[in-house]
This record gives sequence, structure tokens and C-alpha cells, in this order.
Amino acid sequence: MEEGKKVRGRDRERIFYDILCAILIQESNGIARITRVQNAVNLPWDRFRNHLETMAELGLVKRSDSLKSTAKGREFVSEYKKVIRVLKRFGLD
Amino acid sequence: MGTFGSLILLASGLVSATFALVVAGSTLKLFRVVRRDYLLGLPIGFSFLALGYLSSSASYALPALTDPLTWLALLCQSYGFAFVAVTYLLKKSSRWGSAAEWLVSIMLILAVIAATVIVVQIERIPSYQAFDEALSITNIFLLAYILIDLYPRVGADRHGIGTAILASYAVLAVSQYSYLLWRLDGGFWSFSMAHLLEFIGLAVLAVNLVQGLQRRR
Repeated sequence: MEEGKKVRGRDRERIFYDILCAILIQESNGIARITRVQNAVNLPWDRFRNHLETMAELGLVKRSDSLKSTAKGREFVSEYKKVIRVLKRFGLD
Repeated sequence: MGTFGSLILLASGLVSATFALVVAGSTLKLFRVVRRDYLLGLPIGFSFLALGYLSSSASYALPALTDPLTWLALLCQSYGFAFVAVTYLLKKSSRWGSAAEWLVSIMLILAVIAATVIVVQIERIPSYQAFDEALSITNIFLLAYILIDLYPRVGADRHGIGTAILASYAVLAVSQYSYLLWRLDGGFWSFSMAHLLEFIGLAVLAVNLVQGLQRRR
């Protein structure tokens, strides 16, 4: 990171996207375990848990012993990728 | 101006307004997915632009309402470009554009517009033409700000800023310049180029947005 450059915090939607990507990667190898996803997205437990609750309420993930992505969650990841690509083209990401 | 000329101008305004509305709708979708406050400036800005083009277009069809409609077109276009420029300004903010920053930025833009109007009017009797020229100059400055912000980042990486996007803002700036020339010399070509470049610039933005949002992976 460049010295003196401000570090911009991730917004909520970016965190949802990161969590879902981590879940999808781990699902492709079997089960998405909660602690592994938490490590992958680099969030403290309390914030991670709050985000998971919100995501479950929004229908983006299913939570039990492990985490599962939903169709809505996968659709969100796909839309988010497209939007970020467009924003980059417009110099707004 | 003849009936045929009025019809051409009416159609040209409607096409520009349609493209601006497509851009406004698409940018609203961008905001709804990523929820970054600063992005709100794009749908608001392009909606103002669409309203401006519609008013301008309607002024040719409704001669009785020409004065209020041309004033509305003038103000809406400047507000539109201002909101788009502020979006680029706030994007740089570390907090991604809070409501207070929006307010301060809008106040700054209003101050710049007021200052430009005053400077232009020092040597003139206040008139629609003076405001029109002042606001065209302001629009050119606002678009120049966007170009200056984007240019150094073009081609920085594989998914970097598209040259088409940069070109479309440049075309819109040249369109405003052409419009300013027409206000000064009343020439046919400057007026035609202003309208032509206006909807070319908006069309490129609209096509890029729609294609980008439809593309699969």
C-alpha cells in the first residue's frame, strides 16, 4: 500500500460480496465452514455474525452448522461483478 | 425557423432526452446494487439533463411557452452536469460522499455558477443570452473537471476506464462549446454540431452502460 494513502473501508455490499465469494469458493471444494469464511473475509467475529444475520434475512445465505449460498446470493454476486466492471469503466469504483 | 427545422430540433431533443433517461435508469441500477451514496449524483444528474432536453425540445413545439421552457432547459442542463461532476468529486472522498459533503459540493457549484453569471454580466445588460453563455461556460468547466479526473486513469489496468467513456464526456464538452459558439455567432453549423454531438455523447454513455449491465460474466 502507498504510504500516506487513506485506507477506504469496505461498504456493506462489498462485505456481502466478499462473504458470498468466500462461501462459493469453499462450496466448490465441499462445505463452507463458518470460521474459514470469517478468516477469508478478514472480519472480527461480532461484525461477521451481524453481517451473516442480515444476509440470512435478505435470503443471500442459509446458515446452519455451515454456510450455504442461495440462488439469490449467487445472483447478487453476478450483478455485483457486472456493476463493478461498469463502475471501473466510468472511473467510479 | 421553419416548420421542418422545428421538427428536426424537436426530434433531436427527444432523442437526447431518451438517451439521458436510459443513462439515468442504468446508473440508478448501479446505485441499487452497490449502495454507495456518491453514485446518486448520476441518476439525478442525467434525469436533470433529460428534463432539460425535453424542455428545450418542447420549446420548439410550443411557441407560447418558449420563454419558461428555454429557461427551464438552461437551468436543468447545468444542474445535470453539476450533479454528474459532483459524483466524480465525491468519489475521491474517503467516506464515499455523505449527505453533508453532497450539500457542501452543491453549494460550491451554485457559488461557481453565480460567480460565472456575475463575471459575464459585468459587461452586459442581464439577459437570457448572458445566462445562457455563462451556464454553457460553467458546463464546459464541469465536464473538463470530469475529463481531468478520468484522463490520468485511462488504461491503468485491464478493466480500467474505457476510452469510449472519456470520449463521450469530451464530445459532450465540445457540444457545449459548439452551443456557446452558436450563441455568439448564430451560425447553422455550430448549432447543428451542438445537437449532433450532444446525442452522440449521450448515446455512447447509454450503450456502454446497457451493454455492461447485460453482459454475462
